[in-house]
Amino acid sequence: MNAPGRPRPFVRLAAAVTTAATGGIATLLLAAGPVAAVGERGTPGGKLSAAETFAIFVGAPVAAAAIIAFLVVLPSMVRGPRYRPGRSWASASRWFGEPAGGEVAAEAITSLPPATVEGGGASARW
Amino acid sequence: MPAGEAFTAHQALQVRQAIAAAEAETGLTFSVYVGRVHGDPRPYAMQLHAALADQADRGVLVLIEPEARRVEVVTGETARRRLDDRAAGLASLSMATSFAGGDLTGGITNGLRMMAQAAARPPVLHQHDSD
Repeated sequence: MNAPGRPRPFVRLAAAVTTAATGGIATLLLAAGPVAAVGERGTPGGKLSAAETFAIFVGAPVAAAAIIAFLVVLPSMVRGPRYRPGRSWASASRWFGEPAGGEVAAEAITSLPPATVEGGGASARW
Repeated sequence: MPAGEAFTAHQALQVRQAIAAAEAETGLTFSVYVGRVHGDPRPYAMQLHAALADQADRGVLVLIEPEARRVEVVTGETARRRLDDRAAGLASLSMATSFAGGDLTGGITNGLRMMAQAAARPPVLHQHDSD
């Protein structure tokens, strides 16, 4: 770590940016205050129509909820279907490194060759 | 699991790459079957292994039955000398653990890597039992 009293360059930069941004926002708020107050006088605008009311108080929340739900579901949509242990398996079988003839040829084999019989292996369940 | 493909294109690519890496590392032939089996998976796995024909001797077949939750590893006669039953058992246990967590692709690629590592060691040609 650096010696105390000598902040690293990016820390100093961050401090400068924060100070400038805070000052700028404060100035804007002070300047906008009286201007915004002018519009508050006078009669209120016209009533909202039924459609506008519906859009603001029902449409906007529903749209926001839909967007959030979509963002939640998006990662699993991108990742594709997922195997869930215990659920039934409806997908077609897949054989990587499939020999010529495939499963049909394999099922037709009645007597196993010595290369298979003399071999070994293991099994596990989950 | 919806009907159709069990693996996305990317997942299938990962499995194929893992098979290719294991084959390059060991010189054995690796084959992975994922699907339902009617009846006992073990005899079916041996049938699939026999279907490797002239590759069966050096072949390692991995059968994964997602519904019966079984994984079977069948090694050929020559392949067994490189990948003994103990190493195959360790790999199948590791795969089963991943599958129990719902990760088919990760389990397959990890299992293949484990088997490749075990088979890549120089085979023990002679061993003293008394040591």
